[in-house]
Amino acid sequence: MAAKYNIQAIADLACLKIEDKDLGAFERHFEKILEYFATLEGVDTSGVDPMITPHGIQSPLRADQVKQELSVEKILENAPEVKDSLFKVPPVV
Amino acid sequence: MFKKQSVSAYSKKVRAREASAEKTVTQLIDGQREPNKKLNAILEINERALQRAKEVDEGRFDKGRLTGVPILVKDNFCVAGQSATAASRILENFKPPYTAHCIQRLEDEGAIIIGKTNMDEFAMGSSNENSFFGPCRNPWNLDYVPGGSSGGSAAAVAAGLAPISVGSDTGGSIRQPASFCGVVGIKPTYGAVSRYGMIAFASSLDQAGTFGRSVADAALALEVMIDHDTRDATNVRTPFATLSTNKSLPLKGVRVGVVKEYMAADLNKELREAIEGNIETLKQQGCEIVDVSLPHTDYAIPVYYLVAASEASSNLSRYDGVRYGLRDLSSPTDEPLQDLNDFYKRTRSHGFGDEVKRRILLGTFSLSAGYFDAFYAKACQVRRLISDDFKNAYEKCDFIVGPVSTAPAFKMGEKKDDPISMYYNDILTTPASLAGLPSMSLPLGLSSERLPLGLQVIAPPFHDDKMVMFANALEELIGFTEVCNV
Repeated sequence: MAAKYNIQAIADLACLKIEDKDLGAFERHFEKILEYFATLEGVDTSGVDPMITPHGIQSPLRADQVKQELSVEKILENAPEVKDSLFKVPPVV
Repeated sequence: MFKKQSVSAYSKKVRAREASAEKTVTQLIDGQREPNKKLNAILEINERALQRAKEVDEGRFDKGRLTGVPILVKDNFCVAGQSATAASRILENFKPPYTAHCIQRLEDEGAIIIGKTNMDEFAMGSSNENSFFGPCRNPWNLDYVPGGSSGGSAAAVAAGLAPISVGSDTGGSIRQPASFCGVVGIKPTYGAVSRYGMIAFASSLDQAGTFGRSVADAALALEVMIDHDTRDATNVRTPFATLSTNKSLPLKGVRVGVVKEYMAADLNKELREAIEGNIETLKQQGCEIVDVSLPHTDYAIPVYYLVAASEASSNLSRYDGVRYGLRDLSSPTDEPLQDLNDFYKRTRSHGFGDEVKRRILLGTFSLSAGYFDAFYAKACQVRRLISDDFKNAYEKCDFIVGPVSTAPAFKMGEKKDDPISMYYNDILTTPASLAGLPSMSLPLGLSSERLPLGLQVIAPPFHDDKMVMFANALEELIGFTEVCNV
């Protein structure tokens, strides 16, 4: 599991920007963490069913009913910018 | 006022008009100002708390189980009209328009939410030093951390700022701060409390729970919070409707498991002596002490951090600066926006702290093509082995007892720049989290430096009620009565 990685490439996937001055610390910590996590390599997991959630909880289905929950106005109260009941963003193209 | 009085006794008085909720809430709000300047445990006081206390005194909640009981809530739960920041800059100005299901349950039973408490940003941390609003301090000694991530909730109850607080536990975030602050902290079985309205960190691990000065206090609030709710798909109907808050389990014949790997850990000497002393007392009371083994304990930290970080990287992708929360498009070089990704990146980079970024990066990496099988999938397989270890252990014992952490609270700043050492803190709490088990921390005594020592109890899934009864019996035996003065 001697993984090769590029912090800036991972940050790009995660929509994060790591400033150059912080890059060294992130790389150092990342390397240490992955080195520690490499201990998992030694565990025999052949035939082991991965555990995604405890107690085998299955997502239940419910009737698809229309309900009045929150109003559009209430939801938009937290938006950084709003125009005509819509979220407004600056032009980016 | 709650140092010697249980919340149920107090609530009874409020219902009988022998105590005034308004007076209590006023006293607590006025009384927290000075100690909170030192502790930084409370981030916001609920402006509507007094009005609600008046309504309680007018008899609007006379059938409640928590009538008039003041409660503090960790800042990752939504309470309509109050900030819910998760101690992050990205949610600094977020005011949710709705209330979390479990908090609504408390309010429906007459509780009064008096404020929100400090925490590690997005519950990522074990010392409460990762808060955008500054660290919270340990009320027993201000140079020490209160633990985390629910540090504010634990410190507030220990300092008497409220009799009960709500926290969340993903890998130990209730139990570890409870042990560092000398209070009771309970994490129920995964799925028992609805996560609706709790800001998500790692959805297969996050579980709400409570802090109190006594088992009965913490369990009463938890009992109210446990409820079936279809808005959380992982919420389950528990086989118990209430918790036996005031009943003690007869100890004779109870099989108490002592985990070989937990006791072999590099435990602080005083903590080890206190735990071993407690086990000896249980033996004298007629418990059968059984040695059990959880052989995959050593892998709990990598498994936990891979699973939690992977889930967090997905959960935290919702913070994009478009719909709610921070939008900060500034750039150090004043460059114009390049594209939509640049728009997201700017806000997210300004809004998240370093530890949150680190975990998002780790999670993104472990879920990425080429690494998924070796990291995330492997971690999920080892998680199964950790869970199976507990199943095997519970064939031989009814409960597991042991330490919560390897040592009492550590000094502020001591582990801040060493993520591995900070993560290692959680070695004794993450296994039960990964297996979704009910577990709790009880104050056991004080170290020679007057720092609290905690005892962890872990029960089989959905044995929350039995665990509370066992804890009541333990609490009587331990007889911890120390209080801290801030």
